[in-house]
Amino acid sequence: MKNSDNKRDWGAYAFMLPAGIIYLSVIVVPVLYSLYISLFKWNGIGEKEFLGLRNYINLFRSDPIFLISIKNNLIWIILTIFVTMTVSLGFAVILNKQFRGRTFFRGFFYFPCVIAPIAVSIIWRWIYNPNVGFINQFFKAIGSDFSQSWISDPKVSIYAIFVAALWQAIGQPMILFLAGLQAVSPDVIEASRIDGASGIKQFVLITVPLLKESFVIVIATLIVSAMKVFDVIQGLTGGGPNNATQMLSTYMYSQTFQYNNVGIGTTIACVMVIMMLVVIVPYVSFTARED
Amino acid sequence: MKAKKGMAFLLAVMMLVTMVLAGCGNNGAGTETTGTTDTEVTASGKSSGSSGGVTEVTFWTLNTRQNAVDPIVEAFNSQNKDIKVTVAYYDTDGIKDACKVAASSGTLPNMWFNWGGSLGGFYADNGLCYDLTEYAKKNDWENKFSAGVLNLCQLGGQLSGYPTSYNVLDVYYRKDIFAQYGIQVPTTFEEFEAACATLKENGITPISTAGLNGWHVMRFVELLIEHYAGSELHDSMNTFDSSYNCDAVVQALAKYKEFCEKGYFPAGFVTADPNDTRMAVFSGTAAMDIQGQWYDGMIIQEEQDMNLYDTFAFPSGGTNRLSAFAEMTQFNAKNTDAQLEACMKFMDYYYSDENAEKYAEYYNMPLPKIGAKMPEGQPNVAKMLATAETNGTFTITDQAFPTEVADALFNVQDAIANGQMEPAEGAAKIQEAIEAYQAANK
Amino acid sequence: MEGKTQKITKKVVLYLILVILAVIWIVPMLTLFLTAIKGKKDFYSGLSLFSIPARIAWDNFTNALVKGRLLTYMKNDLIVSGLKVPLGIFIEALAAFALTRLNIKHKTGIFIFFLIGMMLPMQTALVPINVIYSKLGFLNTYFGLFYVYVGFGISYGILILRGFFKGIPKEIDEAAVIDGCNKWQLFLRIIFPMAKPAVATLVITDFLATWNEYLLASVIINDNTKKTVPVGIMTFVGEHGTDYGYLCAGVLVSVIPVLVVYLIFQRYFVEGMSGAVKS
Repeated sequence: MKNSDNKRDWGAYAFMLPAGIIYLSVIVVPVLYSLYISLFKWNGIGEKEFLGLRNYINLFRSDPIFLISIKNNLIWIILTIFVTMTVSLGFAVILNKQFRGRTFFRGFFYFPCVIAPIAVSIIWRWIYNPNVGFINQFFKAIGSDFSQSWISDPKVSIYAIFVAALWQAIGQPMILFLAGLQAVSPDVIEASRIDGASGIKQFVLITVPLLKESFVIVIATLIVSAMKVFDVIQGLTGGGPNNATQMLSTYMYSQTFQYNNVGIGTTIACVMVIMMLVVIVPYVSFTARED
Repeated sequence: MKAKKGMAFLLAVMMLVTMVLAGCGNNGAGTETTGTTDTEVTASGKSSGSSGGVTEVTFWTLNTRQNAVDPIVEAFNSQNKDIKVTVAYYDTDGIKDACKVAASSGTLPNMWFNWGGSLGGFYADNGLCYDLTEYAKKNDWENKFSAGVLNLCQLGGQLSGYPTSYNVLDVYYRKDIFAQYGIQVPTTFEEFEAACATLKENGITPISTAGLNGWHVMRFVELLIEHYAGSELHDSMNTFDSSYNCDAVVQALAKYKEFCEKGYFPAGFVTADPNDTRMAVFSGTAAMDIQGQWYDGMIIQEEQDMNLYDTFAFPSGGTNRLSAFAEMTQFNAKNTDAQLEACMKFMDYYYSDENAEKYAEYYNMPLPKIGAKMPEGQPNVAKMLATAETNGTFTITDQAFPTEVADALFNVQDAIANGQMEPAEGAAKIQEAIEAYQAANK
Repeated sequence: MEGKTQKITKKVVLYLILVILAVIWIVPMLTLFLTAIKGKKDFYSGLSLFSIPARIAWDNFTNALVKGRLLTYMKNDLIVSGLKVPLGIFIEALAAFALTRLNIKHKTGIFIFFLIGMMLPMQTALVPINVIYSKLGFLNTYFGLFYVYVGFGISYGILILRGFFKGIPKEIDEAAVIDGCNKWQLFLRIIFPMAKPAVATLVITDFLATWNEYLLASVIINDNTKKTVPVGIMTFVGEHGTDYGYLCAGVLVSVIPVLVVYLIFQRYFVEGMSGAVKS
């Protein structure tokens, strides 16, 4: 009995072999390399000076920009989980219904998602432009003298960028939810309708639990993408004004490629991965244990 | 069942299309493919780079120049059977990152485009680019290139590149707008302020600037510092021999703050894209923009009327110096003599008068050579270079500073514009960044 | 009777919501379209960026295709994406199948290990990959690009496929084993085809991610004849100014294949399809 179990195991591992080999060479090597580099002071070329964990300690102890970045990333994660997820779920539910023009609307709302990040930044910079931008012109047109400098105002900036990011970021979770909704059998919904459940109640009590796996996927990807958010920030404010929208990824980029502090930059990258693991490991283990 | 087959079918079609395309690609580009794999080895400095008597060299440059460089390389390769140049193109930020990655991995090309100052200096400081001091002496570069540009290519105690352009910055202004409100070209700082006030009263934004990535606003701030510090102190501050935490800088930042508060810059300029400053000037909502002589080329390319534009040196006092920066081609320190010779031959051909004339719009004109031809239809180019010659120049701040110090200055600019910081604190912050940089790079 | 009016009000509310959302969504899209068809004279006219141009500049599109060499780059991108997407999904599906339906230890641990690839900032991989590739001669090859794309796609693929495979009832496996299926047949004939919505999702997202990937492509490929679309788009971002008309026109042309793939595969999101499979 035990013997045959072992045999079965090896066959099972063979299924993971192709993915495992590629993964080891493409992902694991850079991860180990980064962990190693993060222990040194290095400009990318010259000699490395061993620092132990001092890069990590210095960042948390005496780097105000790093701490601002962590705060901003946390704000971004919270916004993403609440706003992006809710809106995309709403879109998915509506676009899952049978109606005329569904394919058009599915394409329409997905469209922003396919546009190159550079173009997204350009468009939104114009929309937010206080002089010729759409929003302020719109307020002028309806006779309001409300005017905002949007992305240049350090208090508003991060939220303004988030709206731009939202416009583009809806597509991905939307189709994940759409795919998930295919597993929700209409029979079940129909049955609950006969039981007299109202629309919203039915949705929360019947549909949401059935989407459990979709939520695991969406939440994990949203946390990761919120932690790594780069293009839209770099494009719209470059982390400014005065670091008001600095993120870990943009700060890592500056340290590595612009300040030639490759050791510090790599340390920030490692901190990012560790923070994501801290959030995602318990979450994934918890949802996996339930079965 | 039908749907299942459909999906498999679609995926199969996808792969089939791929293979057909890959097949075409190979037929079309077969020869080029082998060329690049060969030069890749050359670039990493592992082979001598000469196979069968042909010296192969690689060149990395900006993608906006592709339409000129491609035919030039083709012509050069066919004229010189013993040399084969291969080019790779990158965008403006991409080439900086690609070179850093290549430097860390030991795969730098034989020659690459770079800016002067701290960007090019990094490669000089780390022994990655060829020291051309000897070569220049032997080949009489003193009589070939202008002194100003050679000086800017002198980085980390060595001549670190082949000068490809010399840029000086002046104040571009709309003649028609100045005339409309009876404004004379200002010759003193006070007149400049008065001109701004007049423009503002008439609903025109005096100065078009944009704060994204800091460097465009810096062009104005550094002129204010030049005004209050004078040229001698400004120079010694930029080499870190004098402190930035001084009265002159505080005064300059205070004046900058005053300009922000008076609305002399466009609303929301702090995060506007520097590439967009011309939108306000071209459409006539702003009157002035601090730009280099390449701006004449932009005016033509963007189909604007050259007659509406003129330039003046910012009246900072003293000789009214202009800020200047250089662009160059750097050469791999690992180049063999034959490779360096081949690179130089190509550079001389690329930056020859005929090619520059033929593909003028893809060069930062004029060439930094002695007696270089001025581009036609671009009146401000000659004018600005003459001004630079008589007034003198100083190295533009973001090239004089290492990037982290420049970023500290840019943060101060943002914070003052948004009313989060006082000028005195700003001056202290810049000096703090300088000292932190010096401590980390002893 | 009451049911019917209720149904109609529901439809009206649905369309109303859609239209309001569409209006908000359309403003940035219009900006993109209008800029793409605007000549330089109209662009710098000082009027709103949202105005309709006096003359439609179709030459922006031809210029984007010729100056930006977009047709070549799109062809190259199709080669890489067309290889990466199907093969990548197959490899990921194999692993996800093992992680959900086979008898192996530490499933959650292995799964989390596979997720790290998603979290790793790509910038940190540039130097190690460049060093390895320059030694192996993989720089400037489609294979080199394909290989790292598969590597970076594994995490996401396993995450999605694992989720969907878990949703397929275990009884199906048992029934299949009784019918004499081995593991390979179970995967190929039963489980993989049942995860159609998941595979469709992956095709869409993977194709998009591969199509628009810039960073790795810019470091691995510098041979002009082999570059991909995002690198081509960056041609319009110059040292002293961006060519907005060309850039927007180029973006619009270059997204066509992604939209086509999306529209083809989104039809697998049909309400209640898996309900039919179950019975």
